[in-house]
Amino acid sequence: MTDRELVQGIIDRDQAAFKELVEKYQQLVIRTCYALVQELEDSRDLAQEVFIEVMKSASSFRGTAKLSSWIYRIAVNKSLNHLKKSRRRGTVTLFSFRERGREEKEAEELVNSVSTGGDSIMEEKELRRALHIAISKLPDNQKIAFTLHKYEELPYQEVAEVMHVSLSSVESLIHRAKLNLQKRLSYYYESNLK
Amino acid sequence: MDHNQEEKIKRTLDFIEKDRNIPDDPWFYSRLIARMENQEEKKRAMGFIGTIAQRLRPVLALAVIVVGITGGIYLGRALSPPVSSQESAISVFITSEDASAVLFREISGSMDEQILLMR
Repeated sequence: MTDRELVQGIIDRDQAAFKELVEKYQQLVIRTCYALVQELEDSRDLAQEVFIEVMKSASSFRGTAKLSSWIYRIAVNKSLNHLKKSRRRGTVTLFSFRERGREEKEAEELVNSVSTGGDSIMEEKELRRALHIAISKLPDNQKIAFTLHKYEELPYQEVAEVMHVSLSSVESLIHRAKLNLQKRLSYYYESNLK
Repeated sequence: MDHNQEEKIKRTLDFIEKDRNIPDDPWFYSRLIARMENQEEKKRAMGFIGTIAQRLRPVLALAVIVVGITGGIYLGRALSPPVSSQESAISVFITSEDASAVLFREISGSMDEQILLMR
């Protein structure tokens, strides 16, 4: 089924179309949410909310942009709202003990899924944590541009489409995000890994 | 930034590549459907009135505040003794006159004391 047919199927309450859409975009949505939220379980929950939203507002999709861009936008908005709520509740997850335990478990899950094992696991975990902290501290628009480009490998043009900004703004946002990450990571190494 | 640190930053940023391989969740779709059904169930259980009440919650909260303030104003007026407008104007005049007289006396008294001291 093409994207247009999928959307039409969802509008017509066709369960098979919905299943196909979820299977097609599931990894994309979870990855986007994970890149912004940095917690696997929360990302999976958010991904579910994204698909519920897609189901509810399929009729408002006009088809002028790509379906994936529309889904990315919903995923980004849901993730940012989630981060705002967490900040309002005062639970900056990266620094709370309870969440830290869960985060470590998730990092382990990720490491195990990709690493060859051995002594490097501990260092990998530490570096991954440093990266997550550095990304989480970026301003929202830099975070979105950087994660869409780096995690999702979206070209600048598509990032601009998702974010509703110009191409030059995306270039500038990603450039600034890289500089900020380098600065934060080098500061992190100086203060923690000496 | 030394070479070692630069290398470390590069290695750290390489984790983004690895983070792309998020492990598959084979139960994702079934959990999503269960969640949607659960939401539908809740909506049905709340019924029409429940849904309306939930949507109107901010309006109801505002209405309670407005009723509270208005009620307070009316209650305050009802419990205070009735004062005619003429009476209240006279009392204000008398009070203000008394106050200014006292102030004048105090100022002139202190001035007298200072004159005495100077002499």
